[in-house]
Amino acid sequence: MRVNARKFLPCVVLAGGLLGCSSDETAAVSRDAVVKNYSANLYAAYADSVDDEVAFQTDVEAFLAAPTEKSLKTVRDSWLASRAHYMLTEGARFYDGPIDVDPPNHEGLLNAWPLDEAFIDYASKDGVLHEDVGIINMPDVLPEITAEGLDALNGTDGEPENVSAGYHAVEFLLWGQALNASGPGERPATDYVIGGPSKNPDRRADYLKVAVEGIILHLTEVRDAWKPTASYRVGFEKNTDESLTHIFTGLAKFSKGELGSERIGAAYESKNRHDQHNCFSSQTLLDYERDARGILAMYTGNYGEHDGPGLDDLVKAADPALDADLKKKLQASIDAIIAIPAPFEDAIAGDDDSAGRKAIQAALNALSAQGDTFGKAAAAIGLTITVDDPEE
Amino acid sequence: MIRRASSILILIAASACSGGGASTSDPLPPADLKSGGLATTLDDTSQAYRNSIRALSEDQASQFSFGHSLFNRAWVTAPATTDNLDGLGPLFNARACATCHAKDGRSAPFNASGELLGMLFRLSVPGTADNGGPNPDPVYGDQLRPLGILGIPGDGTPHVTYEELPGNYADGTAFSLQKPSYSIDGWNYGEPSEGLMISPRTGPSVIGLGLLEAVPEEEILANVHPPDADGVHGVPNYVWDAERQATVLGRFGWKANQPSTLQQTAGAFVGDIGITSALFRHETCTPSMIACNRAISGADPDFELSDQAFHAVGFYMRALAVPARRAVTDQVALQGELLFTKFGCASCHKSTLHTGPSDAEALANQTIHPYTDLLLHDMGPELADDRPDFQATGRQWRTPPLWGLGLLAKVNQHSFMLHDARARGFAEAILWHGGEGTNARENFRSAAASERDALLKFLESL
Repeated sequence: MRVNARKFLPCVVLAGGLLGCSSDETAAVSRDAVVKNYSANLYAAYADSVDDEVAFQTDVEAFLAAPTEKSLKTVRDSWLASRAHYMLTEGARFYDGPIDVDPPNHEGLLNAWPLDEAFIDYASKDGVLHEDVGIINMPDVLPEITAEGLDALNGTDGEPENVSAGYHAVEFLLWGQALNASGPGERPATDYVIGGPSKNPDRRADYLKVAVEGIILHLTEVRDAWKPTASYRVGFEKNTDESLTHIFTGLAKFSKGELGSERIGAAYESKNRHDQHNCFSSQTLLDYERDARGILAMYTGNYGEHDGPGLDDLVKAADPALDADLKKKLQASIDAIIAIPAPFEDAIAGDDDSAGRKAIQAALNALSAQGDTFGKAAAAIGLTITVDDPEE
Repeated sequence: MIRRASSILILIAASACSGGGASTSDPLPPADLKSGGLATTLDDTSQAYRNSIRALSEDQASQFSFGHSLFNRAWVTAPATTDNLDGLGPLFNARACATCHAKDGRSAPFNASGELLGMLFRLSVPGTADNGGPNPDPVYGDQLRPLGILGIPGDGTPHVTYEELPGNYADGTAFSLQKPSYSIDGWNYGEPSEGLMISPRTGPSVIGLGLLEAVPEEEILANVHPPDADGVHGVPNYVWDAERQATVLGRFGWKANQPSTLQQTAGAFVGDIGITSALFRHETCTPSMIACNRAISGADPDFELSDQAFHAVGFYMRALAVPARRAVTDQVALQGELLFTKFGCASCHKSTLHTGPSDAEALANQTIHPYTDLLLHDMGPELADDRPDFQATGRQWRTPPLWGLGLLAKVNQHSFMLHDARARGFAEAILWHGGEGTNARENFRSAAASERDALLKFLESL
């Protein structure tokens, strides 16, 4: 299956006349093989993400059939588990691939943050509960909560971005607003009990079901775009150098700009706990770690137990020291994220000399360095990518 | 990298010009690739507009990064857990700055469903406001907000239809311009006042604003002059500065109706997204909009955009670098620039300005090539919005900068130009010019096809 048809080509192509082929090198990995392995791994990860969400859907149904604090805890754990594989795909961003291309903007519909909570359900401000806001509590605006109904409602305001759907909408419906300085939201299970103390439990259940269906729908479309026979994947595997550029671009930008600056840096800067993804569940660090591990695996061509030809093989052939340095940096970022004391909202508070903020700053530095090193690694195999500001 | 590249260019220039003469066989000297001086980026990809200027201090770099994040984030309805990002609306045009300024550029005027999106409609009625600016409609205020948060209807729905206007170049080659007609229906708060004036405007790209802000006032005013042989004469706009509480020179916006990037930013936050700030503390609901006035505010406690966030976005708006000019040795493009000057385009689209002191190293004392004089010009009845804006008449528009425009298609996947995005590319934009731009347009229209192509190639290189 992994027969290397272009075994000796890379020596000629990659070395650019500067380096000879070292004779002790075992069969060199071809660029084609790396791109094919990348798309196969990504397809597998999206397929697992769909399966995760379908499994989660079953748990949601079980919860809705008998909402208790115990079953709520179970379904919350299930939500955290349901994102395990999706997080590993996030390095495949920022090259207008199937996850990003807009329209339909699957990424925005799956993972948008912040969330328009008051568009969905009751919400509090400054200790005052506004229980009549949100679609759930406004039957006049949408008598029956269906996917089509929600789409139409979003359509009327002409906005392509939908911040009332996706993973974090489900998170909000399970945990509720995180109103304390630290820790998760405290939505009671009785929010879903018919005849219980909360208004509109049936509509809340409908919204939760529709939101989960939406996630399955969007994940499925992304997965199918990476099917071996899908036109996007066929084209991706044909234009090897362009695709390698995309892959490096995604890894670099996701490392430095998105995971670093946007997701961690913005919260570090604002010191506001609500500038973090997974604010409702207070499990943001779990996401960051999964993301960082996903980046490393994408670089090395690994997925789960599978270890295929990776970008690292190409970089190593061109510049072994650079490959070693990059791998070290990728691991350093993972370690730096693990070193941030949980929960994240406590870590961002305090002054810059606090243990939490120093740990976050270290993670930011590590992610920034790894992003820049991806740029150098791409250059080492003759590709040009934009990591950030190119002349700095 | 820039420094190295330019020294190579100087060598090329020196050898190219060694003949000394300007005979047609001599290659033209290369153009300056540093359109924004030190604040130039060599990025020419689809991300070309989103780079920071160089030599930021650590504090400035983190402000830039935070500002970028805020610029791209969607605001949400209050109340929300993200209490620093709530307070959308009640009425609004967009949830995020980047909705209309996608990738720090300019969004297409329509969204995927064909609805008008990257477009704003300024409203006013005859007369002037106390600050000397446009007189807002008593019910709808000074701009149309088609969207509202859940349960609060937007102002109304804008529509556009286009009529094709055929024309010919002097050599007989045909072209067609699309003439827009705008209407607004579904007014949700009753009919607007008699004499309502509507001015359609697209969100421009936000590159190089810090440089334009750092151009000393004297340098801008030095270009004010009586009509020349072509009838060209720029005039300044004088507008209200809410921070300084004074009337000052305007330099931003399609009518130069904003005095500073900070005021432009605060104005867009409150007007377009419904986010109040230290500079504009009140939502724009008018007294008769009952639900709008009752909506839950995201203010925390005084206004919705924290001062820290406001200053970060404000700095971000000043710190986006200008893409370097491309094809700097391309003889056709260089010839195109000579024609740009010869035709009279450069009378208003001034190639070179200079910046004065600034808090950011890359913005201070730079020689820049924005291709604007930042002044108002009468552009004739065809482009007129017939809506005065401070000193600007209904026929006057500010010369828009042209830098970076050659990358518009790459960054934003469209080539719509002019204040209301009616032009489908550079040629149509030129052909719409009237008033003071009439002679330049006619020079272009009557030029040989090869000259027109050269001129367009020059514009594409910006």
